[in-house]
Amino acid sequence: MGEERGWTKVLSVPQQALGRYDERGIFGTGPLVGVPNYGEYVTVFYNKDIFAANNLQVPTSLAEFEAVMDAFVKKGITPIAEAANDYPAVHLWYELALSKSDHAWVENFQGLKAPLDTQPFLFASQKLQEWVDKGYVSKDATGLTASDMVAQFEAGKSPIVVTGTWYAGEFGAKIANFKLGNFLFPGNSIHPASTGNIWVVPKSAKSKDLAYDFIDITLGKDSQVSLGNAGGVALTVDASEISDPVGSELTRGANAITVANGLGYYPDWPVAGYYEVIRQKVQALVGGTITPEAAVDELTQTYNDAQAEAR
Amino acid sequence: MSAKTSSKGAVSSSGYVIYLMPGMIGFALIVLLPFLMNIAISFTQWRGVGAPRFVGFANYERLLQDGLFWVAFDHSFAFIIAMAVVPTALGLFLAALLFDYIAERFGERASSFFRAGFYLPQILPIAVAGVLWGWILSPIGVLNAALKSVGLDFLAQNWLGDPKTALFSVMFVMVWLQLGYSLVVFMSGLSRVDPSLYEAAELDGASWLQRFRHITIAMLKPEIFVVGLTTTIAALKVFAPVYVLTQGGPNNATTVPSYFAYYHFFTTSRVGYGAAITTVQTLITVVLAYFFLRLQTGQINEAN
Amino acid sequence: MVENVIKQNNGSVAVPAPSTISSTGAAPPLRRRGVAGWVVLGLLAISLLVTLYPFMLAALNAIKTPVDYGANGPVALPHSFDLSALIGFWRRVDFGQKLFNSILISASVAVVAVIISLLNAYALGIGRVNGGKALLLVVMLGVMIPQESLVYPIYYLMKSVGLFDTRLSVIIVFAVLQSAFGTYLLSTVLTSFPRELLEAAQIDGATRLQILWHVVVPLLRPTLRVLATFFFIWTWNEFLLPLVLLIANDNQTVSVAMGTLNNQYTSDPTTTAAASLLGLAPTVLFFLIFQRTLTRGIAVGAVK
Repeated sequence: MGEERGWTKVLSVPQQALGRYDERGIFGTGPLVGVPNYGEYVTVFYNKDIFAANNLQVPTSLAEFEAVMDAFVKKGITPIAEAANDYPAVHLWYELALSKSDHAWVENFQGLKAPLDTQPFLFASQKLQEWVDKGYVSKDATGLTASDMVAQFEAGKSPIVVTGTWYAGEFGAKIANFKLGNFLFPGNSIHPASTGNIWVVPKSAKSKDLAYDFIDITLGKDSQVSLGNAGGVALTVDASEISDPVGSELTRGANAITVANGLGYYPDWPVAGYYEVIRQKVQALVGGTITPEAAVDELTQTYNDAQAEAR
Repeated sequence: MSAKTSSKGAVSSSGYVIYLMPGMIGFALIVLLPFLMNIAISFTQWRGVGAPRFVGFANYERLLQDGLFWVAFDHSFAFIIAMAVVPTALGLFLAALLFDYIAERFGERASSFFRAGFYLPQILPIAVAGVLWGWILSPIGVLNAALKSVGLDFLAQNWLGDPKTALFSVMFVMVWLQLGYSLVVFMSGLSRVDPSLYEAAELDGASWLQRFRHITIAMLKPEIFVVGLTTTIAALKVFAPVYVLTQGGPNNATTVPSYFAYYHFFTTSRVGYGAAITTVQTLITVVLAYFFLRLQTGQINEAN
Repeated sequence: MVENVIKQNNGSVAVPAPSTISSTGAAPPLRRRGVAGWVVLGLLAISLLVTLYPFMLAALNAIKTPVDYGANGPVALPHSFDLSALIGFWRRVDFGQKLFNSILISASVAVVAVIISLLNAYALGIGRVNGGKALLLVVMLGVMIPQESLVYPIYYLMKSVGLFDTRLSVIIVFAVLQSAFGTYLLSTVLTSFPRELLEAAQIDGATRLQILWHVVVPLLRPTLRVLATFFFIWTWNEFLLPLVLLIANDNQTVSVAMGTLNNQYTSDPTTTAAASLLGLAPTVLFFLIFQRTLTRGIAVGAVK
């Protein structure tokens, strides 16, 4: 069906990956079961005004990023608004992990292929604790949720927030007193990124053709441009066709990631229930109640258990 | 006194059996059957869809070695204190206070007003209560702001995010939540009691404390047992508040057996393992309830 | 002293003596309050304020605009008055329909569960059926089972009898589950029921059914009302099983609808606060009505 309607042409191979599943239920290869019409990824949103007031430029490498945050700490500002009682800290941790990985690692990790290469996780855990110790991220974050974190960013208390494009709409609506900017996590070629939820047409559906038509519409130019203008990440149109500045930037970021084959997806996908484990370990890392090695050990154990069961 | 006393209109106990019919049928279908099915599932490995795979005692062996289950079970004791011991004792005290002290001095309406107020937390959907308490206990929330404003900065904590204070904070919310239940049950029990008993005792020179011990506690024995047992059972299977406030964290500092079971039933889809967890959980609860009920019937038969 | 007073009542649970309260119709004169009285009242009032603070938080935030909330946080007093969150939420989830479903289900469960509990307790507490103690423990299973373990079995059971995605299925399930608690509470209270009343009625030739309706129920009324209130509120706030059993939008309840608010990717605290108040109102109303009937005074339990 995908080829018939031209969807496999409009969407690039990486963009289709989430719609394909094999017999084990693992995504990436296999028949096209569903079609996405938007993308999402984790990026760095920042407060342009505060950056400017402190004469700081957008960093292009991890080292530069740390230097920028040092400058903020010296001024008594906590650079990154974070929430470790919720998913955002996990995304930051995963960004750090991905900075030490490559596409092969992502494929093996997401595909539950043995064994787990723990290097990226170890680096991420150590780095994260380092950042908390240096004051880049507040220890209080262990008690904060995503909405708290967003509130802090929107109120201008912290100039940086590392979170997903799904917040673009919210930021657009709520931020009125400073200019919003965003940049891809410096130094990474792979990012926590994926295509969005997929449209699936059930076998027993009564009006299949109408459903297919609907999917056509959502992938069509008009819808995609509107999506982009509302702050979403479009998949099939070029960033230049989107007039809203934030939406345009985000779509450009998404394109850059796709072109570089940098879709890292999300760290909890390979294992059912992994989200809980990762979230608790990251929370403990930020709170300083667990060592990076112990955290990685537990993550590896859970991963291995899942592998054993999948066979 | 035997129920088989026969006088006019025979009162043999077998005639009462028919009254049990509706309840027992419902019970068999909704409780017993699913319970047996759950036990059966605990001997399988199953993802919730498709066919279960028989694995014998594998799930139970795994459970015995699963450190997390015993951590969760440990926390149950804390919840028993927070949900059973404290609310029962406090509720009893408050009920007597409202009934025997406030009502006489400020009227029935005052005492009803307080009862309604303290009961209100029970009405709040737990999901909402979680959000509200999250706002209060957040490191940037109301409680810390209040402490700072009266200069008690050093007391401000990361209440829910710090493993050292998380369990204690959740326990506090549980007392807040449960107090109204015991209060209402005790006050409705007190409505069976003749107020003139209290007056007579006071005329005889009994202090409030003596009246509390000899009238209130004595008269409310049935209710005390009911509240004590049901709150203990609730503590053993508590789930929603933990889910909403801390998701069992930070780093499993507040996890409980039901949350642990939920995790395996629905998040990791290890349905067989989840069934094993809940079977063990139920078994422990049943044993506890058995001893509690024996104690209860013993005490009440004594009184009669 | 006090013991004598109780002995005068034959040591049994006090049957409300008919004389003092109802015959005169007037409330006894208020006691002199004194300083101690006002101090106690003051302390109670403070405790109440602390207890109700989360509700105040919800009310304050329900009327804020999102921008106000974003700029000033949840604790600040509202600088705006905006009901659009309330109205938007109502429309989006068809709150009127959800309210109707919740009321229908909760009220039905309350009535049915009370009846089943009463019938069971009558047989167990008064009829003293053989093996009653063991049966009570078995019935208590309904209270002791963690709900997560019931989800898969009940899901498949309801599907197989074609009751899946109907409100009736939810009513049946909770009528049974709540009646487990009700059976325990009522049978405990009934075991201490004064046998003289029963024997007197039996000598008069009354059947078991007549005794139940004319002797037992009137004395039990306050407890039955408490039970009905509990059942209504508990069923109203149930989330897990209704979520699993009710799929069609038209069948869902308020608590399920509120679950839509806790979406990972949208932060909508003002709407959550608004929705929580909306979800709260009917149960609060129900409880306040129940309060009034209890305040009207103790039911007359004359030993005719």
